[in-house]
Amino acid sequence: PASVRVPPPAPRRPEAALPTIYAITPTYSRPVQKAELTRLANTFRQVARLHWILVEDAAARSELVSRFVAGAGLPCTHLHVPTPRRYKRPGLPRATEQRNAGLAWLRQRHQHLPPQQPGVLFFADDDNTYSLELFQEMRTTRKVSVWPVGLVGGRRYERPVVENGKVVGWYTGWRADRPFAIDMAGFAVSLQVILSHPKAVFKRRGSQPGMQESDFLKQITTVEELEPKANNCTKVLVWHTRTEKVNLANEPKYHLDTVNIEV
Amino acid sequence: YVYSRPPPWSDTLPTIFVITPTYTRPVQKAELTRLANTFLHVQNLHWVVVEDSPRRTNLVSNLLEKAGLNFTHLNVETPKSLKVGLSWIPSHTPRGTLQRNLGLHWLRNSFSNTPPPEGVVYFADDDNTYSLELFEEMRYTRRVSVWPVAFVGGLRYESPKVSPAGKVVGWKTVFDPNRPFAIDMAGFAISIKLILEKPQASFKLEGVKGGYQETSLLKDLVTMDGLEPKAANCTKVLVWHTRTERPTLVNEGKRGFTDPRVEV
Repeated sequence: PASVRVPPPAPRRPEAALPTIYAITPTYSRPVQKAELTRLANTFRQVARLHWILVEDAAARSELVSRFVAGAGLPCTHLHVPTPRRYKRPGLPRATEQRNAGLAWLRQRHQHLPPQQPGVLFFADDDNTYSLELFQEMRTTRKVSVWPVGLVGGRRYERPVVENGKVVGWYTGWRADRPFAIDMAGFAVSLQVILSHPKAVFKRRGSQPGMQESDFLKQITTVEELEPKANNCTKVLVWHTRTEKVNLANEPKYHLDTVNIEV
Repeated sequence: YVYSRPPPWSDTLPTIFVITPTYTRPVQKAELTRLANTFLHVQNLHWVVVEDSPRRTNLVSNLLEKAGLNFTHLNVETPKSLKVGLSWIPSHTPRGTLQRNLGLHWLRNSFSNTPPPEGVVYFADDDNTYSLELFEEMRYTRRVSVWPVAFVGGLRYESPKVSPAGKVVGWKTVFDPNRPFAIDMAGFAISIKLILEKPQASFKLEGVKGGYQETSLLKDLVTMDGLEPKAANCTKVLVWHTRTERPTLVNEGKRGFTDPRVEV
């Protein structure tokens, strides 16, 4: 009989002092949600000491995500906060409330833990693709680290321009004049910096579309301080993939199936 | 770098040969990366990657070498047209067909003189999404096993129809449910034994109606009542036919803006 239990991963060397990587993932209900979370989990489960913070855009925890989290196979914190209806217009920034909820949870949790708990956080949208090498790179973040992102800004990749180990500009297809012309998938922040800047959040008021990352980073760092990763920002280790909307044209309005199957 | 390794190979666990056709386009490396990240969890998995290309590319070679998986790297180019007599006619070979057949050919060649391992063959396109549970369901296939697939045929999922006695008796699809095998490529696995027993069975190259590719192979291998339903008698969805958007590369311009030496 087929066993559905996944065999345990090969034992790794004990990494007691390894900084924890926190992945903050906003997610929302749509047909491909479970598929996206599944393949994301398959990647995250290969990474030592990764703590997944999953934040649903919802008024309550959904059954699908709750069930998913229960069987996810890695440490996972399940949060939820609904986006106010007035912010759900095309062109407006998305997932602001959810990312901020992730930040709030981290700040709250570390109010009482010893302050020197090393950690790095990044914002992992549920449809992007992450190589395992990316996590090696971000783990050594001291303050704020940056790297190239593939398939974004109308280009094969965007990246910080690095000279003598320092970021001096931005190689981007869109509004390179932003203080931090970088995609959400292109940076990580040390936990220490997040805790020492308790007011730094993603903004709605006064934040133009496409400025979310820049407005956030402005509050916690300077371009000079940025740590370039991925071989001085010359390797693409993360891709801004997007999944096609599913064709459900043949779903019946009436005479539904006799069983209720989760997809 | 410390790359993850798959679970150690076991001499007693059946092998899963995953045949993945792939082709060069901007999202290729991303697709293969997240696939590899999934396959790294699965014990005794051998990945057969077949490029639609006249030569094996550096991108795929390097990725496979670094991934840490057991793999075989093949290639065969799908011709855009076929020479018939003195004229050229457009080739109607569906995408992936030649590549899948080459994978089968390699398998048959590999075990022509040595006893084959227990195991299965599964066709995994590089843009679908696979749960880990799926591989454990297919691992003990005796002949041909089947299960539901999400996001095909214009439905949330298509599924084999399973009788209370546990036999496949039809297909729950809206699109042409009367096909001999109204099932997606991602919805079945074939035992190695059966593949070797029936060396003539392969995907038909030309003249295959839309939706009949799978039938063109399966009809030479099994009949409907010989199918083994998996995934709790086909009531669970363990694989999704996701498709990735083509990225807009408008800012590359005619000559290309970014450094082509930076691999994406």
